[in-house]
Amino acid sequence: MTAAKPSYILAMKLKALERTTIDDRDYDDAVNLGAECGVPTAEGLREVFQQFFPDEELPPKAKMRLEAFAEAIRVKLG
Amino acid sequence: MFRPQTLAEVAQRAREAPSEFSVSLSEFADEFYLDHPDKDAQQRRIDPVPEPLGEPLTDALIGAVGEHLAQRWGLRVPNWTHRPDHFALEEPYFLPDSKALRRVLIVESPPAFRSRLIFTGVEPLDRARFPKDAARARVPLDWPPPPDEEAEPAAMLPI
Repeated sequence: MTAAKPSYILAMKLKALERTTIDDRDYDDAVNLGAECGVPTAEGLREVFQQFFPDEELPPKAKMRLEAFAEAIRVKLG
Repeated sequence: MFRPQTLAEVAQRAREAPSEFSVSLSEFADEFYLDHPDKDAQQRRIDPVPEPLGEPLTDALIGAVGEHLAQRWGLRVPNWTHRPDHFALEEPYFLPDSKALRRVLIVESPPAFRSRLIFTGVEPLDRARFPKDAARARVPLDWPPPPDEEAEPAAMLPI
């Protein structure tokens, strides 16, 4: 069994931000992963996504939240 | 601890442990989806009358979820969802609480949530256990819509 790389899971979570739910669980998971991967900028998050999904664009809702998302990662990192 | 089997049990859990409300609601949604396509079983999960908590946001959410699930999955809307307790919010709430998403949530929020001043996504109870054979509702955010969205008009909701 091989564990998925945290950066791959982060890219998947960024993709999942297209789903907007009451509990917003994917967002919290993505913030934790972003901190674990040490990616505290919107540009860095875009690069992680492109690394695993080179032929796709970030979903519109993920794009809208990217700056706030990076800020939440920075806060988590202290 | 057992998963809540009805929305009334979600309310009961929320009274006993307010911090577990969100998890209880998600667990309940999973149970509801596992009943798909058995409409009678799904109806039995939303029919029992929950006791209001006196907490406007939680009561509004419970009412919204009961009404929304009925409308979304072709069930009867339970009368209890129309009680004033479930319409007591005085200010709008955005779930998720994201300023960047507000413009989208105002458009997407299903009527059962919007009427209670809750603004959320078009499929607010989306879960991994969401029935695989049911199309997820979508609101196109770009115009013209990408080709894959054009191919699935039945899955879109009018703005």
